[in-house]
Amino acid sequence: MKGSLLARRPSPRWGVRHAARLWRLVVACWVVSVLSFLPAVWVVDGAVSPALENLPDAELGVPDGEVQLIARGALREVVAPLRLAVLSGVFTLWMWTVLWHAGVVNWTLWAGGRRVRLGELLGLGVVSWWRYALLSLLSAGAAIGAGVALLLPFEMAGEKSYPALVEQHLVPLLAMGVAGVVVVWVVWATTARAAWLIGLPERRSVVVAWLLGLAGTLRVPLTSLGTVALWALPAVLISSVPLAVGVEFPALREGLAIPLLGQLAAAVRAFCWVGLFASFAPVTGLVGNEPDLEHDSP
Amino acid sequence: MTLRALPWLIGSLLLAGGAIAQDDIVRYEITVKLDPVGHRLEGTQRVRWTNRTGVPTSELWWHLYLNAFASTETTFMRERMAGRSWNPVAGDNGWGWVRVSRLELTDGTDLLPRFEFARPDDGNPEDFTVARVELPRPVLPGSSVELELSFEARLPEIVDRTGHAGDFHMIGQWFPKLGVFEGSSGWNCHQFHAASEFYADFGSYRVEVTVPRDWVVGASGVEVEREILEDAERLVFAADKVHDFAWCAAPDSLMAVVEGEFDPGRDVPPVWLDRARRTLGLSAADLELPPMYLRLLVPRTQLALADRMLRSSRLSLAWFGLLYGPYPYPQMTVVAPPPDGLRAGGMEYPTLITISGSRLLTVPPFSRLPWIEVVTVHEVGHQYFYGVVGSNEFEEPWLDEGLTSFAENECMAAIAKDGLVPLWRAASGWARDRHRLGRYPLPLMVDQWAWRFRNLGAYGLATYHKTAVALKSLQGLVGEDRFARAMRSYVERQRFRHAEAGDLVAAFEEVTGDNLGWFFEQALRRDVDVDWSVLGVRHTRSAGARGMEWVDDRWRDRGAPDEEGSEWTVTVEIGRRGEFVGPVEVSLSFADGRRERRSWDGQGRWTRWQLSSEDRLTQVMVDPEGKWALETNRDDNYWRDEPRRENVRRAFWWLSDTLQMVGLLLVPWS
Repeated sequence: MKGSLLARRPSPRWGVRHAARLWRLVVACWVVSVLSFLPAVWVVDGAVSPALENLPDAELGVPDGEVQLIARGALREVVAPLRLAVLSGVFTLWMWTVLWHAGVVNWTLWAGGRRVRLGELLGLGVVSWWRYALLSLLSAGAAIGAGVALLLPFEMAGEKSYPALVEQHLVPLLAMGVAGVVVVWVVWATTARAAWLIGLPERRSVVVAWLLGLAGTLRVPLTSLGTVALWALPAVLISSVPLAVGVEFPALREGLAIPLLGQLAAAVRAFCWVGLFASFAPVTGLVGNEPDLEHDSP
Repeated sequence: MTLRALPWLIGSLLLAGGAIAQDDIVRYEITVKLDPVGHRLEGTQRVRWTNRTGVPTSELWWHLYLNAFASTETTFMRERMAGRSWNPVAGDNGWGWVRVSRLELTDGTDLLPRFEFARPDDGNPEDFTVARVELPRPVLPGSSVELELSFEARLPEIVDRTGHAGDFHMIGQWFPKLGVFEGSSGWNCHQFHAASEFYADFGSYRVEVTVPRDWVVGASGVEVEREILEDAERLVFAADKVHDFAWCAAPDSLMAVVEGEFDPGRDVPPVWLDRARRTLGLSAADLELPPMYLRLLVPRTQLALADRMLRSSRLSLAWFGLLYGPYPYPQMTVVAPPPDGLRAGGMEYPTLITISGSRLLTVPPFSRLPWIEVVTVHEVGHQYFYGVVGSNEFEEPWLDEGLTSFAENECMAAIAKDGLVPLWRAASGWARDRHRLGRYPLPLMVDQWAWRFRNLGAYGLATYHKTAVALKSLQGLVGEDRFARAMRSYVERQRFRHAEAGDLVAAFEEVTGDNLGWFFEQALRRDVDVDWSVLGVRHTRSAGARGMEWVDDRWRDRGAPDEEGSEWTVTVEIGRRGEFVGPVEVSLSFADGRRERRSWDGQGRWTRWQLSSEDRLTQVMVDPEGKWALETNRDDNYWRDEPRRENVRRAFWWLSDTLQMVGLLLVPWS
């Protein structure tokens, strides 16, 4: 039984379908991701607007570094509230994500996928919110531990300074950077897999579920990491578009094009995250058992 | 003798025919052997000192600066460690010192019994960085004294650019060096401080170093002799018209030597030559630069960066040569210390600079970091402001660090603007320096002795950055051309001399024809801030008088004014919040697109202008071009009739998306 549990594969196709069915959740994720950081944006806006609004039109220009100088001066006055606003945004987003993860698992596995209101889905999440929060902290801890483990051999190599470390071991360090990305993906896949295993009737502990998730990820690495890549790469790339456009086309910074692009990216991103998470539902064996991607060797 | 020595010889012969000046006061002949295992030096030294002043002296003062690294109690260490738990050396074997074991006149008179330590700056009994010796007879004006001495020294683990890191040895401040005799003011010979290193007389050096075989050596001056011994190598270096001598040594297996040259025909960017011609009003012939040798010592692990290091050096030599006159020596040696010795990086010695690199800079995107370029430009700048113009870094540190920082910012801006090196688009040096100034909580006075600042941070901010920004302000006030001509004039006049602040002011006043004492006094010698402000703008209809008028011996109602057709009376008030007094320009823009420029002498605290205009005033800008770079509080320099919301979007277009990106990375963990 355990062997087959570990060998089950995530299904991006199922993820797409499930995310489409959960379009209300996608919209909610989009709205929450925007709202979470609105206080931070307000704090910045409130601090810099009085000064920056008096600057001349772009074509008249200002001396080199002027805008940054004025903005920094204004922001110095609001460091504490700004820090609080950013941290509260991060915390809100984290709480929200844990909540909908729990809700989606419970709804999918226990409500049989019947039509459900968003509030009802979130209510299902509240019931086991703390277990999913624990899982989240566990995965973050695992990633930090993996990072430390990667760097430990260099720390113990006895070099006197970081510049010396870089000089002596540049290629291995760059390789470690790549390995670090793979580790992050492994942890992502493991966490998503474990989140679904927590919802199974066996009521495993969070730690056991995470370890089973890890074993499953390693058992079918190509499919697991491929699923993460399939969703995460477009999400990251699309999120970079507004920033890249702003860097390359300064004239567009003043208009509404970049904010609109940003909202579009946020919406696509929300869909990707819901789809990524839902793609791992088939690892439970209770849903979506149609084959997908290429098969890994057991 | 090597071919490389040829230009030095020719130069020496040419100079020998000229008048004796401040550049020929001391003559050192030093023989030194490096013990690479114990990191020790053993040397003998023959010194000839000529009294070029009109006052006799019967003593000689010496720098013994390696003693700054002898314990935690020296003046240098106390200042360096102030308020911090910084550990200067890793182990007890890391301390450095120098000891004079023999000192006598060439006639054999033993002077060692008269040799005593002095602490002219702080009386710290644990400081042994200065010593004086009584001579049996005074040295009269125009006459010389010649001495011989023996010394032994131990190099510290690299602390602030001197010492050893493993087998790499950066040997600066290493030999007993004479201070500067200033006539009636006596000897100027300060203790070694955390924030300053240099002040000595110009002279000539002939230094013979012995190192193990298969080691590479980089040194001030040029190599004129080389002899391979059984298990060692003896090299002789000669340097003229310099006020210090430094060298480095490392095994050939650790460091490579890359030979190069500065070929003006190839290395001077044509756009820079054109700009210099226009700015300085000189012909291409006047700006012709001589070719010279470049010698790079680079860790073998960084050989891939050698071309970039040489290219930075060439660009720097081109920039400084065009603006401040040709580099007056036949060779420049560039040392990139190995990573363990990075503390030796970023230092200037005559005709030798240390920079810093890392293998990381060979890997994109790190390869676009301007690390090498910034350090190289700065240190090459010191070849002029410190090397050629030998100011007193103890008493007027801004004269070398500040002028160099100014030139560094200008040169880096030109490199970026002209796309000469592919670098990341980053904030300019000017923006960075102004931000730093804006963050400092107190007004800063620049012109102080180096160790009298509140702390090392304040020293750096004042001498490097505030001075650079002050000079940028002066450039804005007098104009780019006049500024460049004045700077060049200063360097030409003070070449191989000990320049003082007054010399810089005099050069500016003579070239510009303006009295600029008010500027230097406030910018450098007082802790006053520049701060202009738009205090207010009011619009009123000038529709004529209202009320009653006295006509034909009776009061008569004037009637309602015709506001629609009347002009606006615009009242503009400009204020000076800072204590710095000076003139400022104000730009006024009107609704019909018309712009008007006004000047205010800034003498009072405020001024008021009343203008009549058919159109409303839409915008006021005080110092619209930012000529007063010293002003860091600029948010009240602007006024608009209708605040422009787009400006906020233009400045913070990235904020919301970036924050959401942070959130994006958070989600998959949850």
